[in-house]
This record gives sequence, structure tokens and C-alpha cells, in this order.
Amino acid sequence: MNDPNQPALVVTGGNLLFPTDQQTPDATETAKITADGVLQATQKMHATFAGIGSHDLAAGIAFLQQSHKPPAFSWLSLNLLDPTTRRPLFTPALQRQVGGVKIAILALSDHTSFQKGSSDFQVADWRISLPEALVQLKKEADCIVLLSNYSLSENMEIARAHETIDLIFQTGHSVGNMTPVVINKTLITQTEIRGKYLGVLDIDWNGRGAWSEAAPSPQGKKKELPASTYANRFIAIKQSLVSDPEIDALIKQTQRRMDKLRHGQTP
Amino acid sequence: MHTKRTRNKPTSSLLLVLLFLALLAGTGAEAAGFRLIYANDNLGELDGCG
Repeated sequence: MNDPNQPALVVTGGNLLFPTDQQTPDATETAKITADGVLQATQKMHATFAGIGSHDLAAGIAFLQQSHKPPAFSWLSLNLLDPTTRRPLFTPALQRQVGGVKIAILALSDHTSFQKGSSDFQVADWRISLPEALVQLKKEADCIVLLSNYSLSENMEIARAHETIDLIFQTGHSVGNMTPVVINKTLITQTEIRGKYLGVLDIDWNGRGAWSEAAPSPQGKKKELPASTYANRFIAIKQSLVSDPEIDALIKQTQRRMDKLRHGQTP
Repeated sequence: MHTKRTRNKPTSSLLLVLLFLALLAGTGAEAAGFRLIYANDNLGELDGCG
């Protein structure tokens, strides 16, 4: 636990690009430049996938498709569907090997956020999309991680219905930094919205089943391992943190593009 | 002498097997450690650009 050299995976849950579900026409171009910068910064931080939250669709499906370039970067949603074929428009799930553990990552977009409907896409209820996908993923992976754009109450219902999901990272809901809770056999957590915090979840994986929070072992006594253990902490993103030169350059470049747009030039 | 050595052989082999089994059991009980770094919405600073 807490070994800085242990294998790590960056998990971006969703609602990465835009602050709201809808953009006014005037704001769209500015918002697209910001979104482009956010996405580049995210990829520089070694993120190779992100769940699709309702805000990510604010500039339309086509904008999202421009940056969907597997395997370098994949947008994930199991239940965001092509209205004609009823097949997922983006990657429904993918796998990563992290420290000898085969992890399946899948994402759900909140279907209740799209009551108005769209000709470009449909969002299915998780009750329809999830069961079949989990049957397959359970066979292929040691650990199943769900990136969920649903609310906590809905995620708790998902956890009660599907004990094969080991972890749920919740996004887009302002409940602040949420101390991980175990529902059934699923650990649910989320950080504060708008990127104010990073969550760091250290896991000692001991197979699917129960979770327990890591506690220091008595000296000289080896701990029993009946369950997978976790230790979670939140790191506040403050101005005082040492900045990365590449990210600084990216922020400046994004600001320059926006200034050009404001002055009527091509960004 | 010779008879004594022959008699000891099965005991040594048994001990080796026991040690091997103990090591295997130890490997099985060892959890795999990994870290998940996560955020909600975007990853921060560029949010202020707009």
C-alpha cells in the first residue's frame, strides 16, 4: 500500500469537456477550444480513456467522435447507442492489465439526462444494457470498474443488482469528495466536481468479493487477507502546486486561441 | 553408513515438497497492489480558461 512505484491507472469518469449539457451558439466555439485543451491535458497525464457524461455531448456527437481514436484515446459508453442499429456509438468497454490484475472498464451515461431525445443518439437504461455486458466481462477480467454518470442512489441500485461490479467511479454529481462506501460487493467513490481534487485509491487486490479498508497491521504480524483492501485519499488541486511545463504551455496555447477567437481571428 | 543415507532421502524430499507447497501457498495469499487515480469532471486548470 502507498508504494509510489506501484502500477497505476488514470481513470477519467466523464463530463470531461464541458461545464453544462447545453451550449449557447455563441459559447460553443469558445467551449470547444477549452474542451480541446482539457482533452490534450488529460492525455498528457496518461489518460487513455474517459467515460461519456451528459455534458460531453454538449457540442454534439460529431465533436466527440473527432477525439475518439482507440487505442490512443477511447470514449467509453455502453448505453449511448446509434438510434438505427441500437449498437454503441463508442467503445462500450475495454481492458487494462495493471500490476498483474486484468481490469475491465466500462462506462454508463445517465439516460435520465436525455429526456428530450436526439436524432443522433439514444441512451438506454442501464437495466437493459448492463446485464449482458457483465456476463462476458466477468469471464474475461479479474476486476470490473464502472465509470458511471448516474446519481449515487442509482449507482447504489446498480451495485445491489450486480455484485460482479467491483468499483464504481461516480461523475458529474456535486456531492463533494465522497469517502468510499461499500454497497453489496461494490466500492463506490467520487471526487468533488470541476476537477478540484484528484482521488488516489490504492488497492491490494485479493480477488472479487468483499472489501475492507486498509488498516496498519500490528508490527511483525502478517495481516490476514480475506478481502481486497483499499486506502483512499483526495489531493486538492491548488495554485501552489508545482506546475508541469508542458501543461503550462498547453494552457497558454489554449488562452491564445481563445483571445484570437474573441478578436474575430481564426484560432 | 550407506543404509543410513538411503533412509534419510525420503525425509529430505518430503521437507522439500513441504517447503515448495508453503511457498506456493504464500504466493497465492499475496494480494496484487495497484493504484487508481481518478477525477470528476475535468482535471482542473483549463476549466478556468473560458
